[in-house]
Amino acid sequence: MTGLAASTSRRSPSRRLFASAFSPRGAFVACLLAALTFLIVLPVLALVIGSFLPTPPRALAIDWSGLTLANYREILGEGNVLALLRVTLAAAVIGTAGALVIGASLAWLAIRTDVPGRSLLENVAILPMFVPPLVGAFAWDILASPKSGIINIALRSLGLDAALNIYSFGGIGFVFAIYYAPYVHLFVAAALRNIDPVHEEAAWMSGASRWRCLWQITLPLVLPALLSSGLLVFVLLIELFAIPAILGEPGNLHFMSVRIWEMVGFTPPKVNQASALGVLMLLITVTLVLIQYRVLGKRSFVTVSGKGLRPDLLALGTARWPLACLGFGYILFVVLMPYAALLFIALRKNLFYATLGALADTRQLSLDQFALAFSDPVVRGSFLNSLLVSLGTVTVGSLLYFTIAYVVQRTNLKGRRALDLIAILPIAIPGLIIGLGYLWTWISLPFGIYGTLWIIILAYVSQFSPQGVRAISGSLVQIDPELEESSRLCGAGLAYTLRRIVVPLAWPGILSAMILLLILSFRELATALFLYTSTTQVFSLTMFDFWLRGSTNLVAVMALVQTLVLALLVLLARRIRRERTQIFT
Amino acid sequence: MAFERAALKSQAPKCQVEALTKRYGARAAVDAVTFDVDEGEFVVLLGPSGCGKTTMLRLVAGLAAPDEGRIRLDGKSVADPARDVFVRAERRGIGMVFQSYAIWPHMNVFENVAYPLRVRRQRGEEIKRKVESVLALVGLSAESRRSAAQLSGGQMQRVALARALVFDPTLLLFDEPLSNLDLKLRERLRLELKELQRRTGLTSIYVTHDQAEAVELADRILVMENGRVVQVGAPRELYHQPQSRFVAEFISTANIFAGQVLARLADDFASVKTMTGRELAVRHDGTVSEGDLVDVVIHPEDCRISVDESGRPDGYQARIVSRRYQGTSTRYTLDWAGEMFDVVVLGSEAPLAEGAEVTLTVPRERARIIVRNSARGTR
Ligand SMILES: Nc1ncnc2c1ncn2[C@@H]1O[C@H](COP(=O)(O)OP(=O)(O)OP(=O)(O)O)[C@@H](O)[C@H]1O
Ligand SMILES: [Mg+2]
Repeated sequence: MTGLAASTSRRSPSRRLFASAFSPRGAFVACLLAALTFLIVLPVLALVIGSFLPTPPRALAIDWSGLTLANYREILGEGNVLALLRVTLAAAVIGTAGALVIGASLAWLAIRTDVPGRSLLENVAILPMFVPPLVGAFAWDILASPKSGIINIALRSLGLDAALNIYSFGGIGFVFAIYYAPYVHLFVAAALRNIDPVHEEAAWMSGASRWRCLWQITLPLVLPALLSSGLLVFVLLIELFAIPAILGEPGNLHFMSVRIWEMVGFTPPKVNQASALGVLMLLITVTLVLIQYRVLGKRSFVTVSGKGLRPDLLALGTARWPLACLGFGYILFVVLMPYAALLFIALRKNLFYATLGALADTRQLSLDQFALAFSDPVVRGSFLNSLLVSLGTVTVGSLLYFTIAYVVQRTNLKGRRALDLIAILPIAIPGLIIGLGYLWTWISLPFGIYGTLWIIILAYVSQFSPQGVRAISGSLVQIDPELEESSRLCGAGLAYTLRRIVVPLAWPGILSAMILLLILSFRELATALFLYTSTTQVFSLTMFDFWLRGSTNLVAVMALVQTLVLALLVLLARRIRRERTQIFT
Repeated sequence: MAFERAALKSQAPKCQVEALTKRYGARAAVDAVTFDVDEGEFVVLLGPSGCGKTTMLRLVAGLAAPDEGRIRLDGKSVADPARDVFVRAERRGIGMVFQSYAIWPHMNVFENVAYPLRVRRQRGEEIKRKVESVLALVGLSAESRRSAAQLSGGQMQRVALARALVFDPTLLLFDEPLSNLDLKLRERLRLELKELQRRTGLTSIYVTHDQAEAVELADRILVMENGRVVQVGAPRELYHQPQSRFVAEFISTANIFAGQVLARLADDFASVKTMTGRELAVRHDGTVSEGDLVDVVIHPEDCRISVDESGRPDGYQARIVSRRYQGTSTRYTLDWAGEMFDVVVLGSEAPLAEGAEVTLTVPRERARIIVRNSARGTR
């Protein structure tokens, strides 16, 4: 009796699930889940399996009997995996610490104090984020390489012997810090805005000095933001490829990501061992992301009390102008100076200079390099490829992300939580690893998109899904569900409501998400590292390739072109955002 | 009362504010305000939203710097832009209770309250003793280890008070400390606050826009309008001798209507004719003359209504338009020669029905007039 009761009660929910999977809606969610699994889970799975296989990937051939730990034994036994870990983690720690200090100070300065030009400072403080890491690395190599760096030449000509070495831990950590500080800045600025300044005033009224209040009240209150942005930056730095590849190798600092690339790309290729190393890296990033979620979930202080005006800003007194100079000077130093260096190199005919005098020789300047670059078939071809890949990513991505975001935010269909979860998984998956996973998957799958632009597009769509889904979700959440419901009550079907109500209202948000995708895919390097052939090389790859071959002039021109394209996109996005706020206020 | 204050006046006031002005842009949020607060006095700044109360308090606290004027604490100048004197908030030794409590969420109750003592580098056991005694004073002894984030609004307010009290401040400032609480709690905390102030004898400046709170707590009320202090006085004085229609309206729910002086009667009385043609005898301070435009203020509690007292000299015919039963009293709205007039009858009975014709009695010594300031314009 009891057994029967138990079995029927167990069967009924499963039957409902069964039925719902075959209802049109259930089937739809199932298809979405399958697509996402195919795009994101499968490549990672293939990589993990591959790391246990003895032979490199081959079409339609996985020899399940040969599962082995040999790859892991080999990379661990090599001994240098510890060195790789040490270098990777140590540089990431330095970079994160620097990013925290820079990002938090600038945020505090711009939001809490009466520093001159504070709103401008707040806007320019995130500019370094728009410099692609690859371009930043080129520029700092040109500026501060020990022998021929422009700064070092200038210092030597002035009789100073303080040679900067960008190839050191300190140098790489510095470049890490300046380009990742804006992430911290954004988090801390948001946190500072969420904390009522009355908490600081209460400390002053208790007799605490400005300095003491900063340490004992303000800092602890933004600590959650510091922790979670710090962890985010740490993860991004661990998986970063471009800066270590450019600045690490010359100083004999070997990073995990660079080593993975070498293992796959150098002969003899060791894809299996590279995959094992990739799995190790994945373990690290996944762990860190999980910790970040716990930190973020546990506590964040939101203490805005709706009432009242912003009280007076902290008066810096005589420190006002010096601090403003420091803040703006820093931004000029890390954004403008690198581009000045790139422009200089792009215009310079030969790169043999050893004194200030030689540097200042205007006869050496010409536009020849630009002409050369623009007529180079590889440059032109890869520019076109990058455009196509970006457009493809935006088209496929925004459709997919919108569908996922809509199902997650606006329906109560079964399986939407799983959709959401898979869509944000790539946060913890380095682009390099996605690329390697795609290599495994598509070599063993029969239909041939390997060697086409499509494989790069699909890999990008997987890689950027967290950013894309979040951006579109953000604009969907802002639409009052009642707007949609009233359309349904007017008799409009789902498709009609989507077309006439939801998409038009969410359009500015969707558009900025699309531009974000364009930006990300136009500058991406690591994800495409293993997926290109000579005809499908993208722009960043060509730059990287030319750099390795020493065509510094060409690279400088290309870096300027890439930045120009990205800057135009950023301006477009800002414009759209401004229009959006006009519409909704 | 007046004698007592005169005796206290012999010492220097605790806090002196002179011609204080603070501008935001072209607009003065605080406009040439002058007042003193004596030792042990509880002064309330009362005024409508946006009149500059918070700004005034922040100037005294040192959280904002004045553009003109002077502030002295215990005779020492703490803000005087003309002499380039500005003592910062943390050096003034003033305790402040903020409207939004400002309890630090990353510290527990004990640590919040102990903070001012730690800043002053007091010894551990000293801190423990003082914090415990002040927590007992505000009735929070049991919560001392709780996280500040788990407290209710009323509890947070008590923590804020304890934190402001713990270091024996020279002056205590309150910025609408009760306005975020519900009515019941507000009334209870108001009583407690008054009791606490009586026991500790602390000099306090208290900001509110709630006249009931002001009347109950204050030794003296400063009524503010548009950044200026328009009247200063004990609650009773403001209630009975408002110097402007604004004060009368703000401090009470009085009946106020415009009129013109017909003639001065003997003994500080005058007869006034209202816009709708009513005539009545009212009290004045000896400054009115015939033909003056005035506002007549009559408190609803001071009037009586009855069905059978026609023929009295200060009795008028009126009709009950509506009545609102309020438990311990009933508020009747009368139609008195075409104008609405409120009367409050104390007691839990409400015998008169709507529509009844009644006789309204306005005691002539309770009807006051305020001469209209020509600068104020006529309405
Ligand atoms: N930081 C500021 N910047 C600009 N204007 C301000 C600022 N602080 C106050 N004001 C202006 O000064 C005037 C007085 O403000 P204040 O906050 O002192 O009013 P309040 O009497 O405390 O009002 P409430 O009862 O609403 O708290 C207001 O008109 C306000 O707009
Ligand atoms: Mg206020």
